[in-house]
Amino acid sequence: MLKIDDIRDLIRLLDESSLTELRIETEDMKLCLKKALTAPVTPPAAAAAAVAPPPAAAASFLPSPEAAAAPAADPAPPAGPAGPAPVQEANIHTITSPMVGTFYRAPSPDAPPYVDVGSRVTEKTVVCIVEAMKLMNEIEAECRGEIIEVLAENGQLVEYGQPLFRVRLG
Amino acid sequence: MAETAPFWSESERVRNAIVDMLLAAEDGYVSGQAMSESLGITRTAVWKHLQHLMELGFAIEAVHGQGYRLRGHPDILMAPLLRRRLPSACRLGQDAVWVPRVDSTNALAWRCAREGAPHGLVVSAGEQTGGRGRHGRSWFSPQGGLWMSVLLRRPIPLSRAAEVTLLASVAVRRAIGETTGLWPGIKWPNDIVHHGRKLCGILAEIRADGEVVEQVVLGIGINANIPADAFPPELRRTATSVLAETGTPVDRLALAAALLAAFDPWLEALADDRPAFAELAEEWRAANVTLGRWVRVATPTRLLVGVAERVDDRGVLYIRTESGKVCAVHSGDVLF
Repeated sequence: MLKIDDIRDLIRLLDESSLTELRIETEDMKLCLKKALTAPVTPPAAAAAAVAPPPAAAASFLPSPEAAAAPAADPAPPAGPAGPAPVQEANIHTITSPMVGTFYRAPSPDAPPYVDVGSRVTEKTVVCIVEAMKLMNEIEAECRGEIIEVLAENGQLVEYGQPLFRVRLG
Repeated sequence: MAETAPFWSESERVRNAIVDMLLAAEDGYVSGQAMSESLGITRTAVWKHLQHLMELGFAIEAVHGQGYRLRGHPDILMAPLLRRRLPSACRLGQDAVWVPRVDSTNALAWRCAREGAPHGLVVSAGEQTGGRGRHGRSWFSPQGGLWMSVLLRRPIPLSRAAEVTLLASVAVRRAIGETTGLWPGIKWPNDIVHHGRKLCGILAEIRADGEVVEQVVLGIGINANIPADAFPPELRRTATSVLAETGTPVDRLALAAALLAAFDPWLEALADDRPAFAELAEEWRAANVTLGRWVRVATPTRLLVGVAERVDDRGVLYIRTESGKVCAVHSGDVLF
């Protein structure tokens, strides 16, 4: 069974390599890592030139049916290597989860969400909490702009590196 | 360093210095003149501070021509009192802020952190008016409890951050056991329980920069000396206190010092990216009241029912459900 740290290392290796995909299968698990496909770079003449996103990797566990003992992700395997990642527009920043845990959009169930589509954020704006074992990690935007998409559901288990928000920079 | 920290008000700084002088004199007297000169304040000001200390519960004897002598002190986590209970190598608790009442010690600790408070600062209060638990739940925190938050500034890898709260639960359990003889259990992930009722809750809030933790505020609420009948009826089935269980009030300074001294080296291990929890996992598992039991776990999205099969060295709980599927749980409430 791979540890989170091992997977993190694999993601880094994949990022740094020229490979676009990595599959590992053992008796009790399958791991598939795919790199976001690089968008074709349009000539710099275009003002809103699509730029190649930094290589990002999506990770997913696929519990193999023959190994019931393999711990399955809770609540369900995250939307995995579902085809090529969407081509990123220029000036869009994706806020990702720095750890495995539960995603919360608000400080408590009856409080308004930290941010919503249309919210302006700065580097220090708290956009959500990711919780694991009563450790509450307040995630800051670390960029300046406007939230244009919320990519995870309140209460959902999020994986390391999973996209949480899209922010239009500026 | 503590003497210039901006999170202390000037009067707190002076009062701490007075307590330090009185404690240093042991059973002897300190003259008002000596205090006035050493602190650079008038003798009238010294007297006002002494009166304030007496209101906090310090027993100070004044003898004409001799000065002041300390006959007793309250069981509160004021810096000079806590420091004397700690091993000198313990980095946690060398600085402390105590207030009679606060909304939440975690919130006050964050305010101190923003003002540049150092690693190891302990913030505590006589009572909390807005004590909070997991995900915005309220936490009953009247007089008598030990309501403290520890500010940690160590570069702990984010991947090990969850171990902080697990280790804290081991430290609290040891501290309660060593101080009172009552050895409570641990309910996943880090509740301290006795016969199924909660003695202590732990909640950590962190700020990370990328994959390294910059600051942690570790909130620890121990139902220390709360009389059984002080709990509101709706909490009596789920909460208890050390006093209610043992019949004897616990020395909160001793309790806090024991847990800080136990926790300090484990935290340093985490900061070095050494697997601190794995080292203590056996003790944690032995004290655990969750493992091997048929449990219901309320996760944010659903209720899992099954056997609490194991906890790995990162603290993740694995539940085997009726269908034989094993689910990894990172957050949730274990119900029996």
